[in-house]
Amino acid sequence: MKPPRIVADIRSAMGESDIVLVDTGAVKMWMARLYPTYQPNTCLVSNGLSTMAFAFPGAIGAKLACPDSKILAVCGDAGFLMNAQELETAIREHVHFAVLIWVDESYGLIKWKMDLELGHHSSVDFRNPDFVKYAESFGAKGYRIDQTNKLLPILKQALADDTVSIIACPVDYSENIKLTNNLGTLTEPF
Amino acid sequence: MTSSVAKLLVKCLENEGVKYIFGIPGEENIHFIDALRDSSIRFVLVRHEQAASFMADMYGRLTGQAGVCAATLGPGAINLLLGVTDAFTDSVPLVAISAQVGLNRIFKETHQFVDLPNMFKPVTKYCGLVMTPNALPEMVRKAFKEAQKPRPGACYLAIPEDIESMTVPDHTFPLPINVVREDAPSPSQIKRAVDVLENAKTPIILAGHGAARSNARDALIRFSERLQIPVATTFHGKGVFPDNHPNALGAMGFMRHDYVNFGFDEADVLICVGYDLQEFDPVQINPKGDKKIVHIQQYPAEVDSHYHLAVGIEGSISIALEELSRK
Repeated sequence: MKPPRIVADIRSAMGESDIVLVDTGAVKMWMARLYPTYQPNTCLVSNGLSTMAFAFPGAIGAKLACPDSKILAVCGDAGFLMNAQELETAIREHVHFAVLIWVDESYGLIKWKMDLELGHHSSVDFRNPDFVKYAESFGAKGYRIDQTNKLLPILKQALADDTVSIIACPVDYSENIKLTNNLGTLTEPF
Repeated sequence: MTSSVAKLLVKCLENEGVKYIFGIPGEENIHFIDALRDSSIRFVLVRHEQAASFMADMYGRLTGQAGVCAATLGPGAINLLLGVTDAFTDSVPLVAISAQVGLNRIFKETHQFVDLPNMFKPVTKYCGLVMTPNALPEMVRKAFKEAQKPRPGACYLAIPEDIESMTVPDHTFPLPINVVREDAPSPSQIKRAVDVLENAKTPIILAGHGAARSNARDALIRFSERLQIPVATTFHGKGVFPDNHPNALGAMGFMRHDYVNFGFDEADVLICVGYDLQEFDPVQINPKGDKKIVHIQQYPAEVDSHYHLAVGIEGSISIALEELSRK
């Protein structure tokens, strides 16, 4: 799916006071730029440090801080697996929220910068487990997006599920190069 | 009646209003973990201390109260570093507590000993080693006060294994809490800012996370509407000005020249509300260093060659904006 469409669907599924945590990477490029935000502290990013790996475990802290808000962790497939073991913590502690993984099987932001500056990339591609089976093996729910118009209803469903729900959504990052070509030079990674 | 350092620590944390501690127990803090069983504080056991530090980080970010993470000495404590650093660099209140080797052997090369306070020093506002039981109430209070007062950030305490199981005198209590309250900025600062604004032709507002921490959203909306000045936010400050408002320019911060940057190119006066240099490099909004900057924050600005202030306003952001609107 193209990134702007994913961002739009997330906005449709989330209420004004619901909270999205956005991990660091190409996913953050799109969410930080495009996700319309109406209340402070409802789109949480790692800004000063711009670290990966915080959004998924951070969602547990966010839900305990704001139990009446819906919580969505938005991660790349790299960032998610860095602290995915906390799925066990969330299930055991009954801390429920949804997770949307943007699947591109690579360190997408690094690949973007390599392609932009060097014209090619290396050492950034990997594979993933079956995220649905992975989620289910922890006793969580897993969803796989195989059609664009299924994302929004599945997001709404996952946010209403009374468990931890993981959605794996393939993302088309060919948009990345088009974006930087339109805007000019990308000066720094985050 | 408290009788051990471990129980006193729990009492001090309860006194600070702590509801959750995220962490993993170790052999060196079993008394602390045990004392939590009788506490109102819920210990959330995790699978990696790094995750605990991120949970505390997000909790602190959302509540304004320090998120608390706990680990054992050595490797456990080191695993807390990333979330502690994230809180430090994003101005989030967080207190990390870990065990440490006992004072009986800390002075020499010894099993599992690393100098933890010095590892945490560059990424905390305050860090300390509890060297005697009597020190505990003051050190815990200091950790929370530093973590929560502007500019918020991470603090770290190390508790040696032998200290943890010592007794304390019967009448040792947590310290009472003094909340640092923000106050109105000085009238002279407001007057100087009014002079700059009255002569501005194309002012623009940049709102950062400091405005979110100060609950300045409503004051910011009124200010923008009253003076009809457009507002961009940093990524960290997203939502402090609603993106569906007609004056909203959206978020800016990483592309050298995004659509929103055109507004900053045209601007002669930048009104920076709750913006910290950590959020992004000011060269992006002030490439020639020649724009007039009015800085509104709870503390004075840091130094940057592209962030030379025309006026700095220090105090409550909401009150500053209301005063400026009125004049």
